[in-house]
Amino acid sequence: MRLLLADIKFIILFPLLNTCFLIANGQAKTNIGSIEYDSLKDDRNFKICHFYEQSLPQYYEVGTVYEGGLKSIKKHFSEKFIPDNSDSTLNGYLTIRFVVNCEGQTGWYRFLETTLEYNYYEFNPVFKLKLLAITKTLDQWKPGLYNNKPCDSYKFLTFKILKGNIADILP
Amino acid sequence: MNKVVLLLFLFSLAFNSVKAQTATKNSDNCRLAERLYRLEEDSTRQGSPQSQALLDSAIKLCPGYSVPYMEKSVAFNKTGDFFNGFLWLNKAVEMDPLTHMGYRGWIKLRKLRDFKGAEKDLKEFDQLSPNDAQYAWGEHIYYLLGECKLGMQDFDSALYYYKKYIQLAAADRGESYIEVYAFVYAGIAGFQKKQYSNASIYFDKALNYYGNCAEAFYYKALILFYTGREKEARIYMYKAKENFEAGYYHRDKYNEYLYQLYLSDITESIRLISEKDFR
Repeated sequence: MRLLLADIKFIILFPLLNTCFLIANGQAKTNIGSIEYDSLKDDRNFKICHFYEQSLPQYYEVGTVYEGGLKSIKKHFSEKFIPDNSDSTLNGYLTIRFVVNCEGQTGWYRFLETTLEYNYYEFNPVFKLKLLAITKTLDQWKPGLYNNKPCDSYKFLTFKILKGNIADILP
Repeated sequence: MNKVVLLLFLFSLAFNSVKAQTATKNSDNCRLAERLYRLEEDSTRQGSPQSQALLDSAIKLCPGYSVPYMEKSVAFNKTGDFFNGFLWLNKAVEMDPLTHMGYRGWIKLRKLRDFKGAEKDLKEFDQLSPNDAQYAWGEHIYYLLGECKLGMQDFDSALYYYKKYIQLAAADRGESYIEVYAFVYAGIAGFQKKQYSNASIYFDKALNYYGNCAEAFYYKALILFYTGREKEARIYMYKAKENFEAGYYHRDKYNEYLYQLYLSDITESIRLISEKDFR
């Protein structure tokens, strides 16, 4: 019933939203945070399980978690991440955003980065790939649930980097 | 439904005026922008193209209206895009610090564990209106400042702010209305300083108002253990486990909390206490 009302509301709102697209010069075509499959960088064997008309749900909408929580993720990184002296000038927040599918597999990784003051920043690519490689070895993801069935979702990990070391992992 | 039809009608009228431009005053545009923002809030999925179009339109119609700027930041920050999130949030704060500075401090604290950045924003926010009780995203700023200091491992200052919050809140509405985790975190600050008897008072307070609080049982058990009362420690640690497993612990679907408690923390402590028992 709730869905039906939402649909009716949207049909009524459609002309209004179109008008808004005109005012806003039609800037946005996708949801914020959406990841589209890119054949040049994404693993072709990684598949999402379902089709989503609007967008994959976010982890907090469906309860996607890692077994043992951030404590377990931090332990994983503390065992595998080896700091390099050449990275000692690196400071900022590096986010790795990805998809956890309904089987707990991950793919479609993307980077988002800022300085510690949230300004534009680009980490050195080798450093990013080092963190990505470890992120890919996290293999205890528990997919979120939608209508009590495992579903695909977006998830991210944000690394707070101080002088090339992982100072914290969020969220 | 009627509200939506009415809004559509109002929008059509107003938008025709916008197109005509000459006859439309800025204040009319801003009223319309406010309606678009409300519509976005009520009827769209956060971060969707529809949501973005409504917010972008509101900003175009009334560039001095800060709320849609802040609202645009939310979807970015929730998806880990803190560069774009802060681009919009900083604009909102610049335009209307009293409305948005506290929220920015809260975001820095809870979503980024940027304790120094959060402290700076929260203190500035406090000074903007020094005579009023200040809340940032629904939480008292002294409670949040206590968390900033706890995160910086400045336990004395953390205790100072938690005490200040507890005193103010108790005087305002009574002790039973205090956020119970103020007692827990004040206890943790004392525990970290090894002031076990003081810390214990806070954990007892927490249990007095929230008898299932797994964190209070857990830290109370550790204090009992460290002060040589292993048998009582064991009882409290099992109570922590029982209540944790029943879901009575601090958690948030977006992020983990400072000093987040895990079941593994409790089971490891039970093992430690049991080993001591057998010696």
